[in-house]
Amino acid sequence: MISPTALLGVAKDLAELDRTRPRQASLRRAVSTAYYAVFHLLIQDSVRALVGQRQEIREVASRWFSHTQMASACGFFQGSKVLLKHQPVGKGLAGIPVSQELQDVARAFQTLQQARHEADYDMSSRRFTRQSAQQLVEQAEQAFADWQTATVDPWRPLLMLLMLTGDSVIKTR
Amino acid sequence: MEPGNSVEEALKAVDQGLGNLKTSPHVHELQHESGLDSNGEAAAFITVVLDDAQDGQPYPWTRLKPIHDLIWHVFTERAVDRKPYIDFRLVSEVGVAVDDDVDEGSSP
Repeated sequence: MISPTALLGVAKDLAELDRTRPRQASLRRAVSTAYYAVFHLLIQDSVRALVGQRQEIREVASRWFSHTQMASACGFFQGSKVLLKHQPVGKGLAGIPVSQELQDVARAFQTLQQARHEADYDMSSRRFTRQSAQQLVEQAEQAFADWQTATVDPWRPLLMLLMLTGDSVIKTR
Repeated sequence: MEPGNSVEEALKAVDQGLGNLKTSPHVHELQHESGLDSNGEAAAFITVVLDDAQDGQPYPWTRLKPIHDLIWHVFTERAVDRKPYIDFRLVSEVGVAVDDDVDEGSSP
């Protein structure tokens, strides 16, 4: 399976290329690669938690994640209170705040996904700069650390599940 | 009176809060544009224009995160109905032509 850490390393290398006159191609590939580093990190940890250690099953399940569903799931965890389809989660959980680290991972994922979309497809309007590309790569790097710190966050497994299933499984009553 | 939940009002509140951030670079200007993100959700695309560092290097994320968190805090607290997407640029990078890696063409 692809190594998220290796992808992050490539993103950092690309963002550092041509320091005085960075090329758009390098900056765009840096941003896109940083997104995919976080994308694969979240998928690999999620399948490990959800379907166990058997590699063949993990590889199959990994392909069931979609960019859109993952972004949608992250949208539920970007504040301290979890609102699923605008409804508070069950009574017993309402008082448990989302950790700052998990919020930051959720925000970083959506930010990087949007930036990756612009880096890969929007060739006309947005120009990436060293500052913007480095910011995004470092945000991805921080997301790696935050994701590990958030291991103790009780909301983390629910985020993993919703990234796979999407929000259609949520019942609001 | 309830605080306003428009993007413009939220950014005014952000601007007022920036003075409390002691370790972040100076914000020269906050720009924004409303639109849809790549998933079709309402978004506010915010560009934070920063004064250049004396050494000419990009600022590390650790110094930008407080600004990023302030924007998120204000947008969340005010329940702004657009998701903030935050981009940081240096004054020297705004309006400057960037090498576009233009191909010379592939005709023989």
